Amino acid sequence: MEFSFEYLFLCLESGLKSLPMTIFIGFGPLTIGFIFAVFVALVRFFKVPVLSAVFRILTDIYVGVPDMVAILLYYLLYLKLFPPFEYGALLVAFFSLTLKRITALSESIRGALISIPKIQFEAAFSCGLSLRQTLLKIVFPQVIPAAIPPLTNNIVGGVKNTSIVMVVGIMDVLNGSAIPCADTYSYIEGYVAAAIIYWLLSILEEFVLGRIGKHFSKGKAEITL
Amino acid sequence: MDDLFSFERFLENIPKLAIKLPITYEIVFVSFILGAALALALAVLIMKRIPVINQIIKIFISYERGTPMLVQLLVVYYGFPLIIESISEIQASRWERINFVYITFILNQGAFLCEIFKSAISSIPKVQIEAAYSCGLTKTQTFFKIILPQALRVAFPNLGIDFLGLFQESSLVFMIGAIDIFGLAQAIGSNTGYAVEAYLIVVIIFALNNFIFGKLISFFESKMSFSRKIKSIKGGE
Repeated sequence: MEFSFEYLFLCLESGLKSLPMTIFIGFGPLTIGFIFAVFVALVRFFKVPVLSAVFRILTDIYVGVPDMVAILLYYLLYLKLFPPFEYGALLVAFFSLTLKRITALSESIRGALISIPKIQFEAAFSCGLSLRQTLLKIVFPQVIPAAIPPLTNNIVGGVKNTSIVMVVGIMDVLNGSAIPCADTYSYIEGYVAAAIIYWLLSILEEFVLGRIGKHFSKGKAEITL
Repeated sequence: MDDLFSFERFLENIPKLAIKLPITYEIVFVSFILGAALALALAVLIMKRIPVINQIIKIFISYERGTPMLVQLLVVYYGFPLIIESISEIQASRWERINFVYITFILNQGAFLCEIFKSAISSIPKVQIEAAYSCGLTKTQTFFKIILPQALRVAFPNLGIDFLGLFQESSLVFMIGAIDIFGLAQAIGSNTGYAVEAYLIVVIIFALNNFIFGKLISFFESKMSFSRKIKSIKGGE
């Protein structure tokens, strides 16, 4: 067996066609997960009775479960409990990845919330700001720059790790890149092509997020000055 | 309901799956320790700023950080024998699959831990190196006796996070046919037709594992942080 560059280009082309799916399954759960994660982080930060304890236990358990195990368990339950329908596997993958994003993102947002000194809340309240105003005008503008470095890792890691959805047969970059390989049974070209696409995607994400991080930390530097 | 989940099968599967747990530990510990050694070597090389080598290491780290573990595993599994067999007579494609797992994980950890070590080493004030030199310590002595112990303490929390992540990534190895605990759970599923119980056991084992090691790591972390020690001394007064 030899490495064929001709096939590599075929695989790259085929993989790029599936890029929209990877972007959908990468950023979709990220966006929905982010909304829930802010909610979970706030509940845990303000120690809402019962709910906060429930979320804490659930996150503690779920943080330790590998994505791959979770997705295959949900897929199995889907196959056993529901009649198969179109986009069923996609729905399962989406659900599984969203849950994982919620746990991971809520931890980083909570970490950023904790980094805001308690005094600021008291100061804001004593100025007559409501809780909503305090959160929106005082806390969140500071949380965003503090949360961006862990969020960057989360986003880049979250998008590339969607490659596990290949086990439930979704046509993402990894599966798409391997299509031309079925002719020759030489899979190395397909996987190298997938690696190149993921690599470039990650570099692009890191660049964009780095820019955003710089933009938000500008204001922070001014305040400290 | 009995068709989906039975408690008998659940109990029956626990000892079967627990036998494979050492393989997961082996993957994690071997790749973490050897990966750390590789990472330290890379971090030192980067700090020396040797042209060409520096760029190669940077590209390597970027690749390992930018591509999914699953893809890295597949590339090593299919690509490594190709490279080895084209330059030597060794029949690498007949190796046991676990060897490819080790290669992938050690390279991956080498890159990730290198980043952690690099930032930890650069957090140590430069003055300390000068102070060590002026006390007559050699370069090697300064690195191993002054810089490294402090850098390890700084790096510890991040090393802990990385270590916990490694457990989860070890569940991918069944994709190239290496049988770890999750691989066996799937084999049980396809042999008996009942996989839910086996998967649940795997979930519980991973969650417990993460919990125990997480607690251990934060215990050592609190032992290592100086600010806490100062507090406890003050409290004693």
